[in-house]
Amino acid sequence: MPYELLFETIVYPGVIFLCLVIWLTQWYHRKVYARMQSRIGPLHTGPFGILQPIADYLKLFFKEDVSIEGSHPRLALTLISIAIGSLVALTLMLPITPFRPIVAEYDVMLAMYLLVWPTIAIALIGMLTPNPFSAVGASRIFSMTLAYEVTFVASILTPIILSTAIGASNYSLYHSCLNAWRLWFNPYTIIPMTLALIAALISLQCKLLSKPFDIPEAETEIVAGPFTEYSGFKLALIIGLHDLEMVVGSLLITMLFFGGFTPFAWLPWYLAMMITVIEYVVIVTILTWIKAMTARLRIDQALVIFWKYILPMAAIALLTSIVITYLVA
Amino acid sequence: MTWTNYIAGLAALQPFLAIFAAFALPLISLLAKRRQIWECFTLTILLINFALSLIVFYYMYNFSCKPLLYAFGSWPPPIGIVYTIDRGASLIGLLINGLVLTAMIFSIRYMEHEGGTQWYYTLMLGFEAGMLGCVYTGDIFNLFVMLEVMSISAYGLVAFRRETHEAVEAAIKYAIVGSVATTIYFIAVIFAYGSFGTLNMADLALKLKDSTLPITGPPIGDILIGSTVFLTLAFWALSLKAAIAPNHFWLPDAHPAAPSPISALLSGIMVKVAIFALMRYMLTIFKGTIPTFPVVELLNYTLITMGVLSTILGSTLMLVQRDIKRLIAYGTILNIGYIAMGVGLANLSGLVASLFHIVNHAIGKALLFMAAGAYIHVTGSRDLDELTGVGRRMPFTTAAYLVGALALAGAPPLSCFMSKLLLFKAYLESGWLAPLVVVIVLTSVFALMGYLKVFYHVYAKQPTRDISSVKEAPTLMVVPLLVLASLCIVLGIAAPIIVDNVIVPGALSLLNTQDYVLAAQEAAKLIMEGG
Amino acid sequence: MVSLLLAVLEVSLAIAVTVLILLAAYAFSIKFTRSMTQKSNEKRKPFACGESISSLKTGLPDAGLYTAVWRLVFKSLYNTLRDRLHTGILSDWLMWMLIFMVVIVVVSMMVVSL
Repeated sequence: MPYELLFETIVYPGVIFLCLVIWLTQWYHRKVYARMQSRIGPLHTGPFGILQPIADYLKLFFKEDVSIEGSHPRLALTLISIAIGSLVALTLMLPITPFRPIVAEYDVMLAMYLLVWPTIAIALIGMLTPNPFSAVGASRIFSMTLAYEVTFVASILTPIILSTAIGASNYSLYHSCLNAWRLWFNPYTIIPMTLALIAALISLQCKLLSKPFDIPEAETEIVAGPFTEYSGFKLALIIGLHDLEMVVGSLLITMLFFGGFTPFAWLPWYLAMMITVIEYVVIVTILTWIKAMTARLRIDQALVIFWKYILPMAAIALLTSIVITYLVA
Repeated sequence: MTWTNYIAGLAALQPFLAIFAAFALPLISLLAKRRQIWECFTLTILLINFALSLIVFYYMYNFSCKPLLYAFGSWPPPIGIVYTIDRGASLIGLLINGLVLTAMIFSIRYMEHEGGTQWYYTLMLGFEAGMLGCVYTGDIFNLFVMLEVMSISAYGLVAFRRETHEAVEAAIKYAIVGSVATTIYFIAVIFAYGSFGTLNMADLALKLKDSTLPITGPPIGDILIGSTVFLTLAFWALSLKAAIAPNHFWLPDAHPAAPSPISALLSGIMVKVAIFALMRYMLTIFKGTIPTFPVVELLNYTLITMGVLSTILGSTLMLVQRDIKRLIAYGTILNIGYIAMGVGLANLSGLVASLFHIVNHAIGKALLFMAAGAYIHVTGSRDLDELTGVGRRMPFTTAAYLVGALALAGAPPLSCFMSKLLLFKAYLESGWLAPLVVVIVLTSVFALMGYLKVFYHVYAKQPTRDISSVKEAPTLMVVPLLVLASLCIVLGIAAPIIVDNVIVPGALSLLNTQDYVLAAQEAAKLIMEGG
Repeated sequence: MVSLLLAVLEVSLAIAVTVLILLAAYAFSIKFTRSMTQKSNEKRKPFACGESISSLKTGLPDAGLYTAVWRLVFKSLYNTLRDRLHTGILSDWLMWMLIFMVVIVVVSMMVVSL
């Protein structure tokens, strides 16, 4: 039985598959982002520049890994690896896992912890280098964690609680993903679902440290924030972690809010697969669109926005879902 | 006499052995003025107690599913004092003995430069006696006595470094507040005795159901009012002893001021003993009885509210601390909040989570305080800014600290993650309290940030001063740390087995009023017939 | 469907496997790049504004690492909480405690008598 788990961790939907998805997503993301800013984007490496992300990773892979005096390179490496590992493990909990997904009753908390780890790891690796920019970046991440982790957790919980209310799952991520799409066809559950979806998208944007919430790595102020002192393979891993967060976050929203292929299970498998991919691409496009549309906020503005608008939105969604649970019961 | 009497006797022997040794040690110190002799004596007593509690634990979990009862002086239950040992009590008893033993071994080198260690060990033995008595006792007045024994030893231990002003201040504060709590508990006992006419826990439970033990008659007063006032006041007093917000404020002063092994005991198990007594009242004795049911329910919701408040206060205040021990002490308030939230649910899954969290947190918190003690022993400072970089010179201590910190903050698959997961599950099952899981996740993140702040200062941060003279702590201090750290890992990885085989039976025994009462009835009958 | 605690162990196994893969890739990368780079201590030294400084001086005051921003953003709330509630005076706390006690006693008596 662990052999299946090993296969899933290493090949599909684990490391190798995720590497492929990161590659394609990054290419698409850059291309779209560039078009939205009236640029062209990657062009020369491969057809339409499709090999550009691979070229970037390879470049970092073969660069020298310099670590400054007084930093802790091994600890940093372990932390990033664990963060990447936790996102890979989260993928194994989604319904795209073929043979033996990790699924248990009440496993949402596990998923939430796995989602929190990358943020903490990024902040910590910033604290591990003796550089004012990284310390400021880490401090900013920690300050914002409170705002957006709560929002993200609450908005992820909403479809799970609602799908438990309709009797389709028992607080397990897997079964919620299989059934949460039904909630869009009910006039009562559509309100919390909409609110939760908006809150999830915005707080995912904040988790990804992209505009307008790229305060911790604001390159015009603090170079690269927590990542300032990292180079070579470790920088490749950090960028990989960031890209993986985008992939897994979008995948999670795709599967949890729209069910991916599950509403179309009656179609031939390749069509269902295509639909999943299209949903995923739409989510990525929305994230890119927000990023292209906005400019960086100041940290107090971002915190006030979260506390005044986005967190109440997620809280209302969560409370509504609890009320609906009671009305159903 | 059967085997069961001997086993119950072995449990009842433990507090007596400890208190006897506590009185004997000052006399011994008059005769023998060598520190080693005092240490050997204390260590022997603690080892014997540990072995005894291990036997009791093994027996309870393998051969006896009913609570055992030991009647002192062979007086039948409502008249004499009884000790009632069920699986939950034997588990906590084992935990107490194990941790006191670890702390004692740690103290040998930690206290080597301090004078008056005979008093230190005397108080430590008294402390153990008090805690064991609180857990094993089946008598509400004896619980008061044992709370006082425990608390007075604790006041003395907090004030042990009497040359520092903060220890004296903290001890006075703690003593004032603690005495208020025990006095209120005493008043509560008066209400119970005045209305029920009994001090026996099993008898209380019986009288609430219109039945009695063979000797006593019906209640002598209005048991509705009596039990309400008793329960509320006892709840308040015990919540103060357990440091659940808003009654938590003495803890961040008192726990850091004590010597580190004592902080480990205070934070590790003393607050858990109070929570355990609370569990006894709210889940074993007064649960489900018709007249007091609304009060119990009210108090359960109060406990949940207080638990949520504790987690939020503890986790946010942790982040702003500069004193390493104070930071860890705020972590205790946070975790007590989790335990209270589990107890407040008053069902099996909540209790299982709480009981498992009690065990995990006791071990993890003892580890953290002892690791902090090792840093303080080596550098002589509690300020995080003065500890920068010392962890680099103390790899074993830092590794143990990191394991403990990750375990307490809830990193899978270490121990506290598993118990928090169970708490999470209990809350999701509970229906309308489900949004509180957000609090659990959020405060866990805070806890991680707080504990890692210490790690950041002692290890990751660039040293601001020359640390080349710092050496690894002595072996006798490192070994207990490593033992506790490996326990954190084992409890996490073996959690599925441990929960099924140890925690769930313990929680079931705590929830089983029927068997608890039956044990007392049978013992009373047996003693009356046998003479 | 396995039990919840076993799921945690499975997740941990997956994380461990991924970490091992990444560490192996790192070892490979180091082995590959080491032959191409020059060994020098110069590049590991910290610089500030182009000047080399001692690594003991690279630390910065970080007492407010977690809280500085919050104190700025919610300044009035922070001040109120600190000045009104967190006074540190024993009598204040005893007052809160006793108020709490009276409240729960009164409420529970009301619950019983109703």
